[in-house]
Amino acid sequence: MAAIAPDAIKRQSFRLVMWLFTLLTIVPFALLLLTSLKSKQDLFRGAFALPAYPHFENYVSAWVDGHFGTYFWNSIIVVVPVVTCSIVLGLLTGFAFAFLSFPFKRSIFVILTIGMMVPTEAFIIPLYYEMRYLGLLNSYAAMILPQIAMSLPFATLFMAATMQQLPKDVMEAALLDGASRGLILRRVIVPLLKPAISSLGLFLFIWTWNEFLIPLILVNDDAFRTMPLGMLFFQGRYTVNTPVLTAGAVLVIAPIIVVYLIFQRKFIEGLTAGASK
Amino acid sequence: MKQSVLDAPVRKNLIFVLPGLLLYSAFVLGPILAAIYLSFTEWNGIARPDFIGFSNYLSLLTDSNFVTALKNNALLMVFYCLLPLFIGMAFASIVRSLKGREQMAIRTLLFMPYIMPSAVLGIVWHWLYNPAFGPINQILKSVGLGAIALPWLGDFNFALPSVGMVATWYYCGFCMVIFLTGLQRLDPSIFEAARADGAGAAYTFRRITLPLLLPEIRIVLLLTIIASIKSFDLIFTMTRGGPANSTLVPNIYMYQLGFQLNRYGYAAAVAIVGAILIFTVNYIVHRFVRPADGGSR
Amino acid sequence: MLQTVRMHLSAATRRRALAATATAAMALSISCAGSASAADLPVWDDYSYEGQVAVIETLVKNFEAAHPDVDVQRTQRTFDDLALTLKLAVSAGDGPVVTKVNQGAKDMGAMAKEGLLLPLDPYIQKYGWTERQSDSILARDRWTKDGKFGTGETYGISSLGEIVGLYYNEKVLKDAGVSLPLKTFEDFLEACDKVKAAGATPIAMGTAKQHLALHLLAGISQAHIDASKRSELDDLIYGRGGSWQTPGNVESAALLQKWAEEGYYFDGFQGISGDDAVQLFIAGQAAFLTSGTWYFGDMKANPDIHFMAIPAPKGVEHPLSVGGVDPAWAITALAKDQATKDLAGSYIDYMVSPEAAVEWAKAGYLPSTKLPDDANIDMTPLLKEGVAIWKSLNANDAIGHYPDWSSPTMLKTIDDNMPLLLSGRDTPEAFIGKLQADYAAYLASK
Repeated sequence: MAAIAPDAIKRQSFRLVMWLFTLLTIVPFALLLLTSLKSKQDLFRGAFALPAYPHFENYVSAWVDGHFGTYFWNSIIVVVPVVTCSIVLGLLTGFAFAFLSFPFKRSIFVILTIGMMVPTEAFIIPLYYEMRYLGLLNSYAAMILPQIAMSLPFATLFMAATMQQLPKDVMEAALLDGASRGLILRRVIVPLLKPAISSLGLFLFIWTWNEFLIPLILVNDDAFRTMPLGMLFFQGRYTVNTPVLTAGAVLVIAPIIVVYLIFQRKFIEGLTAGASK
Repeated sequence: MKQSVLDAPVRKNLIFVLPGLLLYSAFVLGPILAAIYLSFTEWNGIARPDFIGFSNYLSLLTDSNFVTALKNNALLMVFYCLLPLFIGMAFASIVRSLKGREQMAIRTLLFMPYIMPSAVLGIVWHWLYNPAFGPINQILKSVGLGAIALPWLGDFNFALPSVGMVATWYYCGFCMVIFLTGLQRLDPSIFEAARADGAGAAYTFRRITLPLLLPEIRIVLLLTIIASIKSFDLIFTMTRGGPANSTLVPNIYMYQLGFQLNRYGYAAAVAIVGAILIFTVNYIVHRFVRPADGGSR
Repeated sequence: MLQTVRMHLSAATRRRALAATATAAMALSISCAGSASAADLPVWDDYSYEGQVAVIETLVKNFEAAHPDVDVQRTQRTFDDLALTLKLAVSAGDGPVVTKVNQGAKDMGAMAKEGLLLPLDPYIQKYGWTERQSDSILARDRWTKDGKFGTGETYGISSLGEIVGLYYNEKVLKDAGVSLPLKTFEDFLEACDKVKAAGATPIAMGTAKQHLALHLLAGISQAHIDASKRSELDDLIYGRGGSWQTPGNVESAALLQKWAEEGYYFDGFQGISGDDAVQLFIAGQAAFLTSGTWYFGDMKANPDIHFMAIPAPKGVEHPLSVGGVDPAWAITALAKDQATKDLAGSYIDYMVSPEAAVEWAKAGYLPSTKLPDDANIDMTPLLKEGVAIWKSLNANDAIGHYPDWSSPTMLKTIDDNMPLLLSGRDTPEAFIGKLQADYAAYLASK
């Protein structure tokens, strides 16, 4: 019983350290927000000095000159199909890798892994010429199709790995009930994999939202630019105006934070649900 | 490979694999093969590529910039892989003992950097490190540590660690979340049994937690190693490989060769070597970091 | 995709219209051809700063008003963005008809060699552009078929002039007891010492990004060259041979290194970007800054800041000032038929017209086309100083060169090695030697 007191102290100090690190992690974002509300003159008074009043006009000039409305919708139009299609295809191929036999399974597995590792920069030039040949340059398809293909290896491996951990008797029981494999995938496996699917969705969302090389090269019309490109565009334009630049950065990351916080609930629910089994 | 009860004749199985594979072949595999071809050519991006065999690869061997880039990348792996791995595991074991809401709050916040576009983070950190009006040096100076208020990203010796620390910051929360999930996957009764047997915390960690977490360690290593060799956005926005190539990594070098110097063939060779490297390192991870039960895919 | 289809369609209708009218006069005058069918003109430019966008949008609107049937499809790209995608797009056949393109071997030279750009010489004659801009300026857009720079056909013409000169903060200098004006290079050195002695930073510098150190080095070095002896520098930049290892270059490099060692730049300049250093200079934190006229707009914020050419040492009558023009307007190979070419020509003509020059000047930018004498423009003091210098530099043929135009890799070579020079890891001789090695390798590869 005497051991409890030092244990509690240790636990509390660990907890304190943990919160300290957590705060350290988010301080940059707080500073970003603070700076975005300053005037250019405020900057020279120190990074932590508060501005006399919040300069919301930084956001106005970021929003008005930056065409962020267009960029925002473009990002949505690209991200939604990429994430959905990648998950569906990942489920199908993942299912195949986990349970089915087909020729060259091992080689195909290796080839998929290669695709996960080769950086986009390495094949962007051939990809550009391919898109041009298909007449898809300057279209949403130019951003969507390659990004689904690029997400596929990870989606497949991730889905296959989680499916292998599923209890086998559940599927056997379903099979004995006469269910087809498509039905088992849809009705048995997908519900069991919900937590994994939502984490996969989160990863894919982040990666697709943040991708900038694909839209930079394959799309050269301002009307198709996505959010991170907007930021890039901003950086070129406002390097000498830190407050407006930071306001632009806030505009780019605010939607991600919002989506993340909404998604996060499902994400954590999924994780805890998986853990309680 | 074990036969599954779900298996069926190949013809019926292909329906599951083909859609994904076709898309993948069209937009990733095909271009990669084309890039491999390009790596054997000299190409300025406009005229026809000239086939020159292995010349590009031979030049790489003696290219001091490329060697520098490889060395830098090896060092970066400490910051991309090892530090997040250890810190993430430590965090996970602390956070595991916290209660519901608090645990969720810390987890949500620590994971935050990982969801941000790294290009934006690079711009933010470039400013945090700024010697003239960046907060880091302001704090150092205000607490009397002006002597170590260095021009972080402009210093030959500190630029790479400074960039690396941002990567550590970026991946810590991510690793923690993965390990936390892993810890929650484990059966609490194992720990109770160990405790009942009088095992100390260190012993429990080394002999029970660590081996059981091997699948997670493997995932973390795979993802962070790939990320470290793919690293581009952070370095590009913070230092562009400078000063004097002290933060140059193969990907930045490839970008410079291709898009700045228009040597697409040579750039493709750098990319291919980088890819081979990733592949090798990952093979090593696959080979040697195996779950305790010896099972593999 | 839609845009491509639209382009092809309109090209086809335009061809039909031309066949129907089929007179040479019609073919020459785009406004007539345009009256038969609406014409699209895809244009890329790099005017992405706030003030520039306002001007270019006005100019495009004016052009469209004068050519009611023309639809200018303007795509705005940043400078880097443009360099990244232009060649790819044009060689793949899906790019602009009129574009801005950076001079030098890497972009304009490579594109001209591959036939991706069309010579502008017919339009130079037709519109008399030589009346508006000096020959030394237009020479920067010339390439021969076999890749010689500075002669041959002209592939571009620019809207804006650029001078790399000396910005100085009058207040900081007066506080340090410096008397103005600075007449000679020796005066400048003495002023730096005085400012340093007074405890302020003499020279604004940041080497983490952008090219302030390069401009300082080239600016000082070329201020020591008299316009009458410029042929050596011209030969060097235009790839006709010569050497970087001149006493002037080595001495300038040594001076830069000495300043770094003795703390004449900002504390921590290695970690400050060029743009940040400019911000600090505008905030009054340094006495001098060596950079280009493109910062005029930003410098307006501090009325103490003035602009002058880098002063020359005694004995040099007409010193060269580093400078030139912004990326040039050019017509790409995507202008397939004569009507499209002529439309492109007339667009460029308007962009370099005196009328456009007045618009640029009004917004505080330095036009490369001569301003009309009767133009009554309310110019900022800085721009007045800039315009006066531009005029005299043109009159004396004293506009120098950006060293990085001399080879496709020179900019990277200088950027990579400058930190080594400033930190004392490389001697000035070794530094200049590396530039020479880069240059020699380029000459050998041609």
